[in-house]
Amino acid sequence: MTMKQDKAILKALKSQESPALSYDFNARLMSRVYVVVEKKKKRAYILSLCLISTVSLGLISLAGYLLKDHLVLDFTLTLPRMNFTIGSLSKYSFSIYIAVLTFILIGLDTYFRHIFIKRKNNKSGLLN
Amino acid sequence: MENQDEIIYIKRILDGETNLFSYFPERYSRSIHSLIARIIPLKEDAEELTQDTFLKAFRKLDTFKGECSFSTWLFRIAYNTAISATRKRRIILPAIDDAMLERVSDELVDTVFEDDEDEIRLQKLEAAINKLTVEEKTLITLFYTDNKPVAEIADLLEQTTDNVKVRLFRVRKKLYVLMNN
Repeated sequence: MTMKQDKAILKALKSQESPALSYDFNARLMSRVYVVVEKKKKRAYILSLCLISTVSLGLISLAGYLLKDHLVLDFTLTLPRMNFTIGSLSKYSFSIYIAVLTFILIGLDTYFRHIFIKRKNNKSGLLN
Repeated sequence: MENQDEIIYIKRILDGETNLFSYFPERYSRSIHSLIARIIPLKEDAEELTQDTFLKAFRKLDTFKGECSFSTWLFRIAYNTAISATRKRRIILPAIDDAMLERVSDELVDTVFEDDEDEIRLQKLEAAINKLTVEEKTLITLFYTDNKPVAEIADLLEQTTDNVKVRLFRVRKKLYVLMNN
């Protein structure tokens, strides 16, 4: 005798079957799903906006700091002929600033590329 | 094959084809609702929790790695959702001594549950089912009504196959004891 032959239990369970789902169950569910998708999109948008703002602010602050403490711009304006000179600006400091900026941008590019590839691999991993 | 199709559907949903998700409630909503309704008898609550189950599945879809079948994964979410809901309202159920269950022979239980014609006995059995714990009700629903194999139930409830078998035998004995008390 196996448990599958417990006809009485099966009949008792079937007699207690739950009432059917309401006719618009799937429609209501899908509308909730679309709301979730919209929220997800909005969250991702806000997150990327925050990230871009933070990075931009960081770069502006860095530029400000470098300009204030390490770079000295000396403009001489002579009329009627405009004379523009960068007298005390050291070429050395300016090169460091550009190098740092480049490194930060390369770093950010590598980081986002890494996240993108990881996410793509996770999705394609489902098929394996 | 079906599982492979479902995995392709999931990949497409994750790539932005949200409307494809409607395939899953169309296919599984009845059986998921049936399981939840067994745990949460109030119709409105059961339906709401069925919706919650699918929404949770949708939110966590990217975490489904295909290690088990999608239906097992979905049923596990449904079971956990329903169990969490029952924790909010404690129901006191009759406790049965293990020794009492030991005294009931498997042959006797087999004979009693083989016959599905005796209406009075069936009524007693229905009443006994209502006195089972949530876990026990889930177990017999999955096994008898949903016709799921023991291995899949074990996977779903995160238990061993042997443990599920032992528990199924115990539930049958418990039903017999509850019917006769």
